[in-house]
Amino acid sequence: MTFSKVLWFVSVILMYSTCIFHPYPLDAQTLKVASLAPDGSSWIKALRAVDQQIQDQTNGVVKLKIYPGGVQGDEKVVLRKMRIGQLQGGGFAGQGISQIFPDILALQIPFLFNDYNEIDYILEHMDAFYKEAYAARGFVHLGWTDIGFVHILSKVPIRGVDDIRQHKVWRLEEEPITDMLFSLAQVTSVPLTIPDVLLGLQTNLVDVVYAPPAAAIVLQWFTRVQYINKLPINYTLGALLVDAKSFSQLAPDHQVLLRQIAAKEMRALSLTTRRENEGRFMSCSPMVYNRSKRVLRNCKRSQI
Amino acid sequence: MNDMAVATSKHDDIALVSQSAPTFLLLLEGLLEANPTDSRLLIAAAEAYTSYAALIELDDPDRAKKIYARAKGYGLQALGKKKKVAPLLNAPFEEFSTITNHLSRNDIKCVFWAASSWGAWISTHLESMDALAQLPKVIVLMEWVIEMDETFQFASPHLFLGVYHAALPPMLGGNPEKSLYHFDRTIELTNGQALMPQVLKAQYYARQIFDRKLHDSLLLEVLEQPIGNIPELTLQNEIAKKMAEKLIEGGNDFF
Repeated sequence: MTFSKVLWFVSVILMYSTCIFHPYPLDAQTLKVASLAPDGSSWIKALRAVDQQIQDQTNGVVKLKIYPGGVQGDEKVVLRKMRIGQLQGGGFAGQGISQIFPDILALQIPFLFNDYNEIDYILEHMDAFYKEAYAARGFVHLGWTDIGFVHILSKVPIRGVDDIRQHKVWRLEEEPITDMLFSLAQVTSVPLTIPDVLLGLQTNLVDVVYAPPAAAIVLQWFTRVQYINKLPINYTLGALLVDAKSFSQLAPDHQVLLRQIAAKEMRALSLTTRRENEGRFMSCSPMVYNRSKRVLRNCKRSQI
Repeated sequence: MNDMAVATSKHDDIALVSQSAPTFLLLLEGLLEANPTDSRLLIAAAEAYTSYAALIELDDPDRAKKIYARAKGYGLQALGKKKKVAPLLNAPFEEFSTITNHLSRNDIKCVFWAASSWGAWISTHLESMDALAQLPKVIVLMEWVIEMDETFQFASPHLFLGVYHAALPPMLGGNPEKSLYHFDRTIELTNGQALMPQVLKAQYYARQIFDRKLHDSLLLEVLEQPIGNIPELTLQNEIAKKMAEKLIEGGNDFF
């Protein structure tokens, strides 16, 4: 084993290191928050920023203990753990927020939004309504997080519904909106869970999938598709939710601080996610189908 | 050059090694100035810069990021010296994955250090989708090294894949079973003499499956074990023990 190899090992450790030294008392009020997002991702960085600021501004009385990378289980499990008090919060990405309040799925109806301005307008004007809806179900809504616009990724060019009908299209298992959409559009779909999609693409079980570009990269689906359609299909979002009972145990001024800090950081995270998604087409695929020109055009290959 | 790397690996003073590394790096730069396309020098530079960046990363992550970029530059330059490989480096993944058709056993060291520096660079840019999009390419290279010689660098490519498969939760494509296989294979191939695989298994695998009992037992075992009889593992095992102490201390924060 060479010296450099040894140090490389250290780097692997350090780069994923989750150890944070807190200068504050151990009897602080700790909110345990779980997320599926891997450590080091923008999501976890945002949660750590909330933690750091709330500790600083409450002299260490309030802190977050963050569980990244799904170590506490999937979102259903996290919700169950919140109900029994093992966890106090979660950074949810779709499934969790609709399980608590199914009406939120209305925001994810295909072709409802054309761009982020429309989304921001609706979220701003509906903010009180949604916060009350989550409060009525025992959750404090601390901010929205963008997951992004979903796009079609495929092994063959997809120019319209006629093209899709001729191919094997993936559908997320137990997801009602896509199921209904494909039925109405007479598209035959193959239901798979998210972890099975990559294998499905590798084995040609499916040749058309859909995801926000950033998700297609994290999940590595982009390695098995050649085309991406620029038409945004639907918008997907998540939220940072905290158990209302635990939240109410914080001092009133600390509650206000946590709301303010979380709102600011979650908004910043959404803007980061938008940047990550925008312009990621070329990382996803060498070929982009441009809906306005109705032609296929070559894009620059992904850069090293 | 290689003698120097071996000598440092046998050293038991981490501070001394880290303080003397920059001199070695400047020496390498001087040699590269005179021989900018020398493959052996390019590989040595990728190796040395990756290692040095790793050492300073905790104290100065921004600087480490830049040094990893330099390491990756040298690593890919070394790899790109092969005519048929060069055009594939920037190609989309499907095309890139044919790269292994153009590699031979003589390329193992070059491929390993190119992949290591590339992977380390990605790891400091996890917030960048462009960087993450390159990860599958690194995996292809590491898997090829395993295919050629799974014992290379004390089975380090297995260790890399052990960490990789535990980095994501199963619902996002992570694979704890594969992670476990690679960690255990590393331990088996090093006859338990290397302590780092156990430390990384605790940090990544045990934490991903949220098994504190396994986490602590692996780390306590590392603390109880002697540094061992393989001189080249001395420095690495010293570091592993220090890391094990810190991870045990951090257990309460994580679990």
